[in-house]
This record gives sequence, C-alpha cells and structure tokens, in this order.
Amino acid sequence: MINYEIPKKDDIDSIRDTFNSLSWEEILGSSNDTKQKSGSLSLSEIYNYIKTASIPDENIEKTIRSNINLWKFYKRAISETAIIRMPEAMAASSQELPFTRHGKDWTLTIELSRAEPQQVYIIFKLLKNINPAPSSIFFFKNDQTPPRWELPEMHEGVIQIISDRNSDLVKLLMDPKTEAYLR
Amino acid sequence: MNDFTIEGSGASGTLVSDFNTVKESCGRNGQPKYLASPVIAWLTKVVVGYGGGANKDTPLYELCHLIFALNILNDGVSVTDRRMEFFLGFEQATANNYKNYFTSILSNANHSQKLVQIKEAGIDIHHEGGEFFISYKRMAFLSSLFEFLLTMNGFSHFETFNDLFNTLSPLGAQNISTDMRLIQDASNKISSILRTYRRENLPRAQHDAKFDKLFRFIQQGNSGNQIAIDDGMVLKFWQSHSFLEEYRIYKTVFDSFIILLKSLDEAALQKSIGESSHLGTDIENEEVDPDDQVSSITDFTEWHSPFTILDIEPIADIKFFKQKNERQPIEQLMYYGPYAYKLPLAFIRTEAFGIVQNGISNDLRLSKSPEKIADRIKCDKARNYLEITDSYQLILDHINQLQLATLHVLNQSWGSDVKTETKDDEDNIITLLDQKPLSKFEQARGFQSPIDLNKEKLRDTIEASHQAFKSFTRSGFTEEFAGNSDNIEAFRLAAGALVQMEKILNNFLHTPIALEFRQAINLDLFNKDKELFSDQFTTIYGAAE
Repeated sequence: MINYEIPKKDDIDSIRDTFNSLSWEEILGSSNDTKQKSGSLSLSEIYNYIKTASIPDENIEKTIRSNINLWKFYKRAISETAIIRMPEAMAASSQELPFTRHGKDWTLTIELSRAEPQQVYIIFKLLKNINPAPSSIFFFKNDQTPPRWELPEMHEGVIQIISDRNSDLVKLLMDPKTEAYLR
Repeated sequence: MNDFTIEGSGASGTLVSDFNTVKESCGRNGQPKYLASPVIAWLTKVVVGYGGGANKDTPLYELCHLIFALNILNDGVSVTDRRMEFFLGFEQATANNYKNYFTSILSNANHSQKLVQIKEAGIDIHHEGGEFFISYKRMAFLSSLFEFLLTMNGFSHFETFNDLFNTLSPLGAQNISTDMRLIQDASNKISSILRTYRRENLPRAQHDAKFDKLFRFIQQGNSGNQIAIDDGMVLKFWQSHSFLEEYRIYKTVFDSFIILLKSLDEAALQKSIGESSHLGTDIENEEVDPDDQVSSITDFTEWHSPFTILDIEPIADIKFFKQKNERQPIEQLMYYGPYAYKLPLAFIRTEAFGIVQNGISNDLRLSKSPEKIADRIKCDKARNYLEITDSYQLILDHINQLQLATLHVLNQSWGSDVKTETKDDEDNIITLLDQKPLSKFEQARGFQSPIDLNKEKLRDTIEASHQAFKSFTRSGFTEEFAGNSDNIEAFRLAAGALVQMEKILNNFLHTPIALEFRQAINLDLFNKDKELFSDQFTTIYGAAE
C-alpha cells in the first residue's frame, strides 16, 4: 500500500497536468511496440546523404521531391554547403559552344569534342585548393529537383566530364532557369 | 508497453510521424543516431511538455546557448552550414563526436576561444550575461531536440527556426540589449511555437477524463488526510469500469494506476523545486532568472529498463540473455522497475492474466471459434504465481552468474589478481583501492567508496568469477572476445545494468505478498484470482460455457 497526503485543490490541477503528459509519453514510447514506422527520412539522413553518398539514390530523391518542406531543406542544405554555386542565369545564356562562365573561385567551360562532334567536354576548374573535392552536381529548376549527377575524380583542380551534347546534364547546364551546385 | 494504439489514443498522426522520424533516424551503419534510452526517452518528455525539470523550457534555453556558441565560431563556414554539420552531420550522437568537433574547430579559431572554452567534460560559453556550461553528453540530447524542432509539422518550421537561430550571435557592446536577453527571447519564441504544436497535436480531454475517474475512485475509498493506493484498488477499479472501452483491458488499468503514482510522486518533486514559468528576468511578468547549472536539475532520476543498456552496441554483441527463457519472462518486470514492486500483486496479475486477456483480444480480432475463446476465458493456461516467481528466481541466479563472469572480465582487464596490503594482513582484512578490480566492479555497481572484504572470501569470489565465465558457452564469453578493450568497456557498462536487474528481482521477490505465497508454497491466492478473472472475462466477453 502506498500512502499520499490528500493533495490540495490547486495541486490536483498540477497532478492532472503531469498525468496528461505522462500518458502521452507512454503512448509515444509505446509506438515502438506498434511497429508503426514513419517511413520518413530524417533530416540527419538527408544531410548525410547529401554529404557522403557517392551514388544518387532514386528512392531518397523521390521522397524529397514528394514533400515541399523536405525539398526546401534539401535545397538549402545543398546551397549552404556547396563548393561551387551557379545561380539562375549564371548557368548559361545561349546555346552556342564553346562558352565559359566565371564565378568566385571557379570556371565552367563547355566545349565541343574535336573527335566526336556529338560530344562535349564539361570542365569545372577550381581556382582554390578544395579538399575534399566535390563529388556530385545538384540542379534545381523552379520547384523541380532533377536527379543529381556523380562527378569524376578531380585532378589538379579540374573536373572533366565527357557527355552527349543533347544529354540532360548539358541541357540543364545550358538552361538559364537552372541553378547548379557542386559539393 | 500498453495496449493503446496511437490513433486510438487521439495522438495526432503528425506528431507521431514527426517523432518517429527523429527516433528512427539511422547512420549508414544501420545504428540509430540517438540512443533509445536515455536520449529518445528524454526527447519524448520534452515533446509532451514534461522534460525540463522545474522549468519545461529549460532544454530550449540550453539549446539556444549551444547554438549561440556555434554561431560564435568563425572559421569561414556559414552559421547555417555549421549548425547542419553539427546537429545533423554525425551519424551517431555521441559525446566524443561533439568533443572532437569543438576541439578541432577551436584549435583553428583563436579569437573564439575567449567566448567558448573547451573543458574536459563540455564547453563554457561566456557572454555578457555570465557563463553557461554545456556538457558533451548533453549535446546528444540537445541535438535530438534540434532535429525534432526542424521536423515538426512535416518539416514546415525549418525556415522559421533557421532564421531565429541565425539571430543568436553576440550583439556587441554598443547594443542596448544583452546576449542573455537575446537567448531568453529566442527560447521563449521556440517555446511558444512548441506550445501551439502541443495544443494542436496532444489533445488532453481524454486523459483529463481518465484522471478524474481514477482520482475520484481513489478518494472514495479513503478518508482522513491521506489517500492510499494498493493492489486491490487496481482490481476493483477494473471490475467496476471494464464495461467502458478504455478500461476493458486489465493491463491498461494497471498502466493508468502506475501513471497516477508517477504523477503523484512527480507533483511532490515539482513542488519542491518550484513552479514553472517563463525564462527571463522580468519579474513583473513572472519570468525567472535561469540558473546556469540547469542541466543538473533537468533530468529527474527515473526508471529505464536495463535491457535498453544491454541492447546498445557493442554490449548487444554479448549474449547475456537468451530471448525466450532468460529475457522474455522478466521483460515486463524490468520495464516497470520499482513501480512493479510498489503494486506487486497488481503487477503479477498482469503477468498471469494480462497475457490471457491479450490472447482473447487477438482471438476476437482474428474471429476465432467461440469454443477457443471460451477455453481461454477459463484461464486454465494462465501461468500461476509460483511459476512466475520461480522463473524470476532462476533468472536472478543466472544474473548472479553473469555478474561473476563480468567480474572475471574486469579482473582480467586489470592484468593480475588482487594484491593485499601488508598492513592489513594481521586482521585478515584487505582494502580494495580504486585501481583494484573488485573495487572497480563495485564502482560499476554504483558503490562510490572502496570496500573491505575478507581476503579468503575475495579469493573465492575471484575463483568463482573465473568458473562462471568458463561456464558460459555463448557469444561474448570467450577469453579472446573479452580481451578486446571495446568489449571490456561493454562488460563494464553491462555490469551496472546487471546490478539494477538483480535489485529489481530481489526487491520483487522480497515483497510481503511474494514471500507469503512462496513460503507457503500454495496456490490459494492464484486460484482465487483465477476464478475472479475468469468471471470478469465472462462478463466482458460472454459466457465461458
């Protein structure tokens, strides 16, 4: 048997509050038992995906695209942590090749391949020492999130990609409505 | 551990989803980012407005201080980027990760060192309002809170909080306001958003009604200046209220009584610490000046099942308990801990008949035959109280062997047998100083001072520990495994959990009611209860014939 002093009227409200909070605590704690998984990605998981995943994960990208708030976080996390930022209109303003764009500490050049006219060289040159080197390029166009691309290894500050002239990657880089970020 | 479903209890799906998103957050190694206990258990309290000790906003105030410290650091990284890296970038929220972060950043940012100073156990933040200390351990808790705030309402508060957190930077001497005021204002703004979120997602009508019913029932059964709660009251309440959906399940009633006991205990504690109010120094508006040592009062000592410790890697790699025979029979007892022996008979009734009722509910859900349900209602398959407590005793013996085996590992890790001190040889008593193995084990068990032991008894204990270790042929109990330093640390941590388990089992087995039926070796009490539960199940679910 457990004995308590009869609480005063004012104290009963406080005990009721505690009872209410503890009841909710019990319910939240028991959500383990109900095996109800949220199926949602956490911000930590998304942030670490941006930071470390070398290969795009379509499931994760799809989840991000399905939630506008998550998408805003994703975009903010990428833009805040990017090594190279190419805002709208900076990407390109014409379809003519070759062209070069300059930003703070970087240069982007897209030029035709002499050997294969249907191919282009996309060359990012970093003008300061960046370690670790960027491993992905992310695009944002209006409220869409096109897939990210993996980048090849950087050599002496240069990342070079050979791509089809009509590829999505080239189209996005040449679209003035596209923002691009390397990280 | 109750029979509620989340939706059935009225919790908003949004809140459950937000909460689970943080709770289930994992690193790439598949391990949870935040420990279920104590980190997520603490976060649960904060989310429902119950974590923070004397002032429920204290965790927010601590978080704002931590963000203020991060914003001070200046190594060319934007404040938003730094916050993301610090709070979201670690795959596991451990004190070591946070310590390494501050050590690494502050060694490269000289001018920040005056404002944020690294200490062995945490950081000191210096601002115009004074000093504030946050331990590295605490940062794991505050990270979970940071992530939850940004996750609330399907991540919709990210921009709001980000903008608010950006303002948490030193104001400079020319400013009229103070850094302290800035931090207090930010805490209060977050508190306001959190209160709205709770109002929208944690309706209280249902629990208020439940409380009023329970409290009225208890008051009716008492007179004078005291109220008494006992095992019989739980049973009587169930019998008289099981016609109501929310009280149909005996275990739910038991859980409600446990929550009521906790509320009564907690209210007394809260009252002794002080009333909750806004953080600040505006006394006219009932604000309080927060103590810079707030972390010490924010975590009431509370019970968490020792299994939550044993489930953490790398302790989980050691097979202390086999699931079916050694863990499952005491899982509930460990979950309720000291509250199980506050109402021992009410608890053992859940162990015996709660399982039967769970079976009936499942049969009904699966539309099993009336005969099968009627058979269950008879309670013939309920485990009797002697069987239940016998299994507790067997597991207690097993735990004692585990403790000895753990002692062996710790003893081996210090490299030699216990040495005696010459001056004590005459009276055959030795003193175990801090560096001696058994003393270390006792420290792990919670004893703070060295102990005196009979020398021969000690040698016997060491020998017994060696034998106990050898007797286990299961994962983790090999000399090779136990020789690894990480695994030794795992055994050291497990030692504390094993001692808690021993205490709970011993206390339960020594309650007057358990002693009574175990010493008499009779089943009168169980048989009486069996008839009573069977009758009540018949009333609830229909005829047993």
